[in-house]
Amino acid sequence: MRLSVSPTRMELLRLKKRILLAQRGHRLLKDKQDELIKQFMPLVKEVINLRKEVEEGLKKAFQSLVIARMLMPLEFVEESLMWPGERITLEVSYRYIVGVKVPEYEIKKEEDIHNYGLVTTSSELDVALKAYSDLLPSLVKLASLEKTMELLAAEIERTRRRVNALEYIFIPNLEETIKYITMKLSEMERADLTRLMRIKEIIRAH
Amino acid sequence: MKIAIIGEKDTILGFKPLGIEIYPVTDSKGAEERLKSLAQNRDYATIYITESLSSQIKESITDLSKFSNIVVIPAKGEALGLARERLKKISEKALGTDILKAEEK
Repeated sequence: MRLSVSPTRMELLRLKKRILLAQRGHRLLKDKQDELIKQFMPLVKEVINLRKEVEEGLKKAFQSLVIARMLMPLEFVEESLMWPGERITLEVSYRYIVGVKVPEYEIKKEEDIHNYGLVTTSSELDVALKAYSDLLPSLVKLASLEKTMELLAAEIERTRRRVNALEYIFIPNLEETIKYITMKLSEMERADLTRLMRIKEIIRAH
Repeated sequence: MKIAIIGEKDTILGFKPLGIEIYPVTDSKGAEERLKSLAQNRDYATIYITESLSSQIKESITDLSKFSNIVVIPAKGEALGLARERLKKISEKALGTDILKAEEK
């Protein structure tokens, strides 16, 4: 689609500047997109493997908790677990991947998880708790990686849209307009020339 | 920042001694409300939610994940594949194809 501009030499110069800028922007964005995808691919692999690991870990941890519950009265299990022994907080820091801000978590732990009496609890409960506690770092890492993946995906999509808009709409439009103006200008030039020749002929005939 | 987990009581009980805040709910409606209040609190770095509850409230999870980091985990140790579905969607959105399938082979 041609832009609606008046076909003047000024406009032509302005458009030529704009198309250069647009092409430069397109190249840069394309590089950005390539780099994002390059970062995205290994991340996907990592997330899948980690998720598999976490899912298996959770399954095992849950099973050992079930066993612990079979061996002692339910009230005792709940009572033992009710009081949080450990206090964890997450320290959130941010990292930039190709301009995308992604979170990273660090676990801060305090105190021990086994803060219940030994008399009423079975050793299976300790095993179950150990399983859960071992799982925690992977679980937190999974959270940060999945978020990273989501953010990168959104950025890739946004960049791709921009690249496509420049490549298939903006730059072709500019090219067409430039062509239109050059044609129009040379047409005007030819018209001028023929008019001059015609006038000259008329003057000479007198 | 803290960690929270939403799910059926017996699934998430094991996380309690770790210092993760557990929020037992029984249905997805309760989970949705709980998730909303937790996510908008902004005090929680990540919120885990069990797959069985998340399946009904996918839209809310997508909406709320801009406030907090919401991660779906399998309930009772059985993976239903919902989380995988979500990853698949993300990678399709980014690359136009599902590269997860190729990875598995």
